[in-house]
Amino acid sequence: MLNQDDKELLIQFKETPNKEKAFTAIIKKYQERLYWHIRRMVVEHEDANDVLQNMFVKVWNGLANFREDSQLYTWLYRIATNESLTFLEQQKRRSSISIDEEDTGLSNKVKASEGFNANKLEWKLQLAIQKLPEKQRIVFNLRYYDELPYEQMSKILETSEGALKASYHHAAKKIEDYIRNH
Amino acid sequence: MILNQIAPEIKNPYQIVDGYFDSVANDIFLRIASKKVTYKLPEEYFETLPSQIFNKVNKNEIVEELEGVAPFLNSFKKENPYKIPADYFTDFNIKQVAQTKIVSIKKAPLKWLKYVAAAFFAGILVTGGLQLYSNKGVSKIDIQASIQSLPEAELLKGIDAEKTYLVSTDDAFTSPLEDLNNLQNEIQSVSDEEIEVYLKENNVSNEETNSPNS
Repeated sequence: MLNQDDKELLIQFKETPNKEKAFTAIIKKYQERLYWHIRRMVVEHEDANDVLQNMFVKVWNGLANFREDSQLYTWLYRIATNESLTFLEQQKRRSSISIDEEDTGLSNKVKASEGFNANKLEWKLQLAIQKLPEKQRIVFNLRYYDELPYEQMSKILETSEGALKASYHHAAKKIEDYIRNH
Repeated sequence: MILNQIAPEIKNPYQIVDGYFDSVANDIFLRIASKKVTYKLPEEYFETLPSQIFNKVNKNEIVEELEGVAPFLNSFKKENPYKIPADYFTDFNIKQVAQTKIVSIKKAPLKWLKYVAAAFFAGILVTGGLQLYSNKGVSKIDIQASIQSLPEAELLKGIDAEKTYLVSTDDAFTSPLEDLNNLQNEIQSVSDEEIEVYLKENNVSNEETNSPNS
């Protein structure tokens, strides 16, 4: 069920004179959460900005058809996740990176980030996350950073709650092992 | 006794305002009422209370879950080490979004066009070299080998990737005529250095374009 705030914003969005105002309010409300969700996946700010803007264009085009049987943010997260995955896929194809090399590419981006310090735990954590397979990485980020309940994650990723839980536990163990050994 | 002797007429030296006892009850009620006003609640406190409680319960569940799987991660501060430009979120607005389609298409690196352009120039070099040396009577270049040395698979891969990208950007598409214009522009924008690098990377060296016996 849609929460009251979002419901009102959607009503406003459907009224032509308030369309832009309502959409701006939706952007303001969710931009930060969505940005960080995307940024953790694509690592670089410029890429995150491109993906965020593209996803909001898609939201603008599709919002009128949004079925109100789920939370707006669940729907937004799903678009953000898909856009990020598409972006990563394109990047892989452009640079002819194999699946084995994919984590190296993202790890290198982490290492090239401003303020990177290999000795600091927060950076080690980021490197460990990039070592995870794509799906586990998304699951870990959604649960650990965004603190989403499995029920919501299940709607975003269209995966059963049990599978998500198993995936998160595997990911958390791998990350802990990586940090302890590096 | 003594006081009575000193001032028998003054039994109580204190004075009160007129009508004090008539209004005292009212004053007390007013003070009680004013105390009620001093308690202030955050806006929409009761509306947001259930979700606040739910968030807290969810947070606790996440901590407990991690405690059983990877407790070390619970000791981390969940801070993002990544930096963002100052005022990024304040400046991010709908106008930026509206421009995205144009920006993203322009920004999309048309890598395959560069390959095609490089292949085009490689072709000119090969053909030119052939012409030059055949006129001089020097042995001819192995054109077949030169063409085979071009990374055809990569070219095709680049074209496929770009097609997908353009299709996935919603309404954005380019017509063949636009592609041709883009190709012409792209060819003009490719520098000699880039072509040289490309040729070196793909083993289309000067030696190959010259006679193998020279």
